[in-house]
Amino acid sequence: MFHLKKENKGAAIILFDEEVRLTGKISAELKKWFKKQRLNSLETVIFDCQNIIFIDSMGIASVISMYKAITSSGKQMILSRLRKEVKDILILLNLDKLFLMDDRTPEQIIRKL
Amino acid sequence: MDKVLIVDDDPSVRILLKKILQRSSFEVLEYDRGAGVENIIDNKKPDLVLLDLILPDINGLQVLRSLKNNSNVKNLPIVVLTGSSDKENRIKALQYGAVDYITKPFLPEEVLLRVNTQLKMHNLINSLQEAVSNLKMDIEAAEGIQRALVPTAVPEKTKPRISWLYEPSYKVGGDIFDFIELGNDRKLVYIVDVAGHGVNASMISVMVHRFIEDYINSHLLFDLTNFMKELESNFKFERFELFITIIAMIIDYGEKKLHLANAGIPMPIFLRNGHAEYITFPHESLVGIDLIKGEVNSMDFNEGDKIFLYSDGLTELRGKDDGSFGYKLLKKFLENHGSSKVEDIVKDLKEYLQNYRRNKYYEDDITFIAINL
Repeated sequence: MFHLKKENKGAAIILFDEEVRLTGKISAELKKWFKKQRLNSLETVIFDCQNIIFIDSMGIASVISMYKAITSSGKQMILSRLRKEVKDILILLNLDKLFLMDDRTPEQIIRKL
Repeated sequence: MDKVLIVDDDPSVRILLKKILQRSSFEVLEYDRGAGVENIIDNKKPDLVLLDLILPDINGLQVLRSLKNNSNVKNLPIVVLTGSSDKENRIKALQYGAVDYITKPFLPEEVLLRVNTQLKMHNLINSLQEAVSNLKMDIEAAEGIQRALVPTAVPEKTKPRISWLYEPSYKVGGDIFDFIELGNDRKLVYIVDVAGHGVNASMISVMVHRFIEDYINSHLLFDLTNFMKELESNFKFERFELFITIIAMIIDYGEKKLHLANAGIPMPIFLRNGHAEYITFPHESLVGIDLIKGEVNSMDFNEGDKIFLYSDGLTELRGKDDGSFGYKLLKKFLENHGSSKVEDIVKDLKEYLQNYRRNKYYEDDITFIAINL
């Protein structure tokens, strides 16, 4: 369901293969999957969010958890292509102050790194 | 050592089956008729029964039916022994609850394979049922602890000023609320919502409840800004990999003022003269990710004004049309019911939600507190 695509410039993209509601069970699976990924050589992780059609509190917790793990080792995490409904929820919770959000595609972001 | 009961009137069949099973270390019990099988099972407690369908006294299918109707033995796996031409009874036996059949004449390997498979499945089902039952008990215990901390009745003094709706989700949830006298005609009302469901979330909600009690007991003057900052430093996201949201409000009846702090809970609704308004400030981020500043909104109120606090389980409730209940519908509902007593508003809202919701159970806890100021 999720996969990590390593790109050049020390960047990688986290992708969802299909549309998901990022809620309870999928959030737990995402966290578990993420912990197994090797991110040592990376500087930037871009989370391609275009397939997230809904997010609840557990989904938000899983994204915060990934964000904490990535940024605590000096890397940056960018949320790319958030759908309006999901972005509105994150902004409502002031999480735009925590996350870097970018409407461009992951590839466009990497080109400008 | 697993115990198998063979019920067959033909001694040669019993001897053959006994040899096959004993060679594979089964303990074997034998019985030659239908009457009294239940007693044998009650006394000897076999793990599986091999039952012949043609018995001299009672039809084997009848024996099977009566065993499956007996609550003490209905879960015992029964494999029936049938003749090769007895297709109809084979089907009936499976319909009546036999787990498998062995056709005579049989091969020793087939008997062992079928018996072992059924015993393995039976043991797996038992372990699963036990695990589910233990888990249910744990969840019920966690739920009980959480519910015990939520008010069950309006304190005499405040009657009829506060009324609430607390609808549990089908899983243990993370909502908890309380109203606490602070002295000097001041009252603290709060709702805490811990992200997610399950024992984890409910335990954290209990911890937050305890933290708030301790905070009140150790601070003579309850200061909302300080309280929110303390909460932030005690419930860091990294500790539990979960965050909490909270709305905390002090009602000062002497000064006729509300002091409100809000971190991630939906905007409260203030109702005056039938007109409802959202209280948009403060609206801080989640607790535990270093974004809490302790912002407080102080506002005047008049007697008769109403204020409504609620968790996101209410606004995110999914309706039959697959949409969410949402802020607008809630605001409209409250405006339409503005002149009612808070108890009636809560009662009507409860009825409304029962008709509105898509699922039989609530997907998230719903906390709704109506206060007549």
